[in-house]
Amino acid sequence: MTAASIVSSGRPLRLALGNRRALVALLLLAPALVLYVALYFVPLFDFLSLSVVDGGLSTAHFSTLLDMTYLSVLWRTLWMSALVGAICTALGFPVAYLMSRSSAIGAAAIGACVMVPLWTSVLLRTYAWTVVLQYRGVLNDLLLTLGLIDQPLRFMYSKGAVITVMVHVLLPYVVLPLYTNLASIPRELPTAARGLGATGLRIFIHVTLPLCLPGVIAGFTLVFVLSTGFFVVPSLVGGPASMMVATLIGREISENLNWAQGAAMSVVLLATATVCLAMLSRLRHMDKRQGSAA
Amino acid sequence: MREQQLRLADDRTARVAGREMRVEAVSKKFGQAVAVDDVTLGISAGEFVSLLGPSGSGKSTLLMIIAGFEQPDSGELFLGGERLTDIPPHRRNFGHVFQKYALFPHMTAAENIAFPLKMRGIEKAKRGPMVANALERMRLSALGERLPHQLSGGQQQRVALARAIVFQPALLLMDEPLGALDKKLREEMQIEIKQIQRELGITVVFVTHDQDEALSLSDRVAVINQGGLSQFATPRELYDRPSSRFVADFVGDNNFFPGQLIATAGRKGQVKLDGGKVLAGQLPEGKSIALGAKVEIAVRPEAVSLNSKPDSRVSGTLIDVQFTGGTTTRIVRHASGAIYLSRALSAGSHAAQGDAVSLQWDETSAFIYPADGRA
Amino acid sequence: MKVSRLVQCIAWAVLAFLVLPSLLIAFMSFGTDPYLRFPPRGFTFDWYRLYFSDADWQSATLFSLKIAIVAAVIAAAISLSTAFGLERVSNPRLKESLRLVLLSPTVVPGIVSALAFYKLFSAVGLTGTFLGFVVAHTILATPFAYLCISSQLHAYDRTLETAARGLGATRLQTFIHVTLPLLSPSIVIGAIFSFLVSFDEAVVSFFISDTQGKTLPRKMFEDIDFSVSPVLAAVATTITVGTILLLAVITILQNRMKRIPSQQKE
Repeated sequence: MTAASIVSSGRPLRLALGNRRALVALLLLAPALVLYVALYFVPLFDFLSLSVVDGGLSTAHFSTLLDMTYLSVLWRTLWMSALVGAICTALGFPVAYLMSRSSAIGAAAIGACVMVPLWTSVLLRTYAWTVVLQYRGVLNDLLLTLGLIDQPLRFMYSKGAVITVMVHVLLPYVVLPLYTNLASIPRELPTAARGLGATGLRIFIHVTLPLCLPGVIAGFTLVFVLSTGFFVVPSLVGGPASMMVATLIGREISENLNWAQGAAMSVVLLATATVCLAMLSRLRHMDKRQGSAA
Repeated sequence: MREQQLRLADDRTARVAGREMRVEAVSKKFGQAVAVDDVTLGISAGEFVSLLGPSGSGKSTLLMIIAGFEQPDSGELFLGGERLTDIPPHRRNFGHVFQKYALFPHMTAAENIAFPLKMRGIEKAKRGPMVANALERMRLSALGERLPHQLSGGQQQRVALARAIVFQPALLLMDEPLGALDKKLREEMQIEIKQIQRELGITVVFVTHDQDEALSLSDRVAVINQGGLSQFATPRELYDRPSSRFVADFVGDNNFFPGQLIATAGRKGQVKLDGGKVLAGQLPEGKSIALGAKVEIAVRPEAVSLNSKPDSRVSGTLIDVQFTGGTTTRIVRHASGAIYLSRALSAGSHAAQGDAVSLQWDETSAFIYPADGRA
Repeated sequence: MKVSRLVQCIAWAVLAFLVLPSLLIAFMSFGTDPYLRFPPRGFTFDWYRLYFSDADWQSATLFSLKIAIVAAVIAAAISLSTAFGLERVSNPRLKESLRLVLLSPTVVPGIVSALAFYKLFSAVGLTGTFLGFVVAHTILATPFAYLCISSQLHAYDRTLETAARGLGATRLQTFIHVTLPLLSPSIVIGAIFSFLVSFDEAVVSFFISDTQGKTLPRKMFEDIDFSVSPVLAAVATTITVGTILLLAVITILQNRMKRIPSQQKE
């Protein structure tokens, strides 16, 4: 093409550039949009809409959720998730703290201990725990050998087992945001506080803790939300008395073929997750704005 | 044809490669903000031109327009009479050296230099000698296989320069290329750039906010302020005859005495200073200032000498004497609080710190400018 | 400031809690007894041999591998396209909404996604099929690939593209010679994460598998309940080692990415 031909077509081309840009953007976004809308959002909506259909439109399936059987599972899911969140935060904090105060190699080693479990299948880790917690499992063997017990104990299929394994699976989700948060706190700050006469515990309460509160809240919320939807762990190491809502939804559909009731519970579960995560993201925005104002 | 153009031939053929670059009435807005305001420039073949201005003055935008990365809202660009405005950047055949070198981190120094040749479809066999030649010219022969992060700042800078000239560009554009280097290295690179420009006879447009750099390197300097062209002249002219208050202030040091224009006679004007004293100075060429207008008289520190006998002129207290190697600068505080400078080669006046002094200068080195005038 | 002894002890105890179960399994998978016991007696590779020779385990493993590879490649390709597409969207609200659409599978609980796919796939006969798994896993894995690629796209110095254009490269040449090579580590990392998400995915697989088409996690899900066979420990250890190797590759690539100059200005 010669310069002249470019010149002659130049001006209109420049005007059309805005539209071309939009077209290119649309073409680039099309694969994701088609895949997500046609094969994800439509099926999701199709499934969830079963919850409001009972002949005609109806809220009957949601009223049924107020029955004791459902309500007790929902309630148990909430408190167990909150407990798992709290334990994870409590146990994750020392790890994140140590990681943020370690040398590069130390931090990398701790990071590997956290990242490898994070990316190892939940199923495998649950399996490992069944081997440990079984009636003839590692833990009972150990306790018997040490002479601490005379008879094997029943660890499996209890709330304790579910909580232990969920804490194990979800711990990395607290450690990583907390670490990012703690690593961003200038190291001089606690030293400065010490220079001003504060002691160890006071420094922690008045300086470190307030500064890493965003990380604590983020980690806790993340674990809480993930816990409420947990399926694998409660199904494998839990029993009827420790059933959580995701397992109940699965049973309702695969055993009782009660799709509508499963859908209604799914709506509740999804709503809980969405509200918690929306609150978290709003909190983060506020935090960011405060940060920039200061 | 193309190959012929591109062959790194001996310097004599390269010297005739340049063509005149013209920027005509170019303007560019970003939203409401005017980035470039009606700029017209003619850059001769083989000339080294700097675009000098404070940060945010629009000099980089102007360079981006010349390069083709930004489209002007109005105005045209010509290269040797050929209209350039709508030609996309990759077909303009200009060399670029970017602020932070912009070397491709995944390519070796040699691959970086070969990149523009590869993009022009030059065969691999021909690329080799051209790259080797460019590496040699930049004293980089031993470093061709290194990745950019294995090179020092100065070496990276030379790779960037080699990459920009290896294909014999019609114009070499440089955007604050020395900003990231320390002072000593910067001065070495300045000499190197100037030498290569002379050898190749290449036309250079060089953006900088550093006036010393602009004055020492350039054949001509375009001073840009708030998007507009304040003055386009040789370094000497720019320093001796600044065309506006802005240029007088931005280029070199200057003493300013505010007042009111009370009389004119030809190119001479009388200014009544705020303190009541009346001083004479030169009026700017081609511009008329209304009688009674607020003006400022500008006098370079080198033109000012100090007299220990207070007289009818501007006077003050000598508060400091700074010896800076080649010159000595004396700092005088006026009763109003204003600070004035006097600079001399030798020790000059014998006045001591704390003495009352008066400032003297030749009328021909005092220039009158409208106060706060932009152009 | 030094970390106090007590905090250090707690931290190491927690890390041990994280790592020990998998180590125990690895240790026990070499025992000669036909059931898992601690401490294991003897030493044998039999359980690994059994895993690699058993037809059921083999077919489930190959099925999972094929699904994960295809899902990872598609997820990376879609993420790349989307990352560039979103960059061209100037309206910040629209941009944020589109991002949320893409990240939504990480917000929706696994069981809910699983049942949505289950209902759709039962209706159109995709349960237990390669295509069904690829569709579901691609959707679940794309957010992870997208996050990797888009963060690198925002991080690296875009003046390199300008430089390429100025040196005579067309848009396409710039993309091929500059943008793509600079993004490639993050594309590979994104694909590996997507692979892991798909390969380990258990909840959706639990519902959309059938007797013919089942993935490795689904097969393990069935076996955990009924057997204490050391084969399962061998399978688990094999997968864990594979995961560690892939994470090592990711770490190497991440270190390489640190060399690419970032966009921040001094």
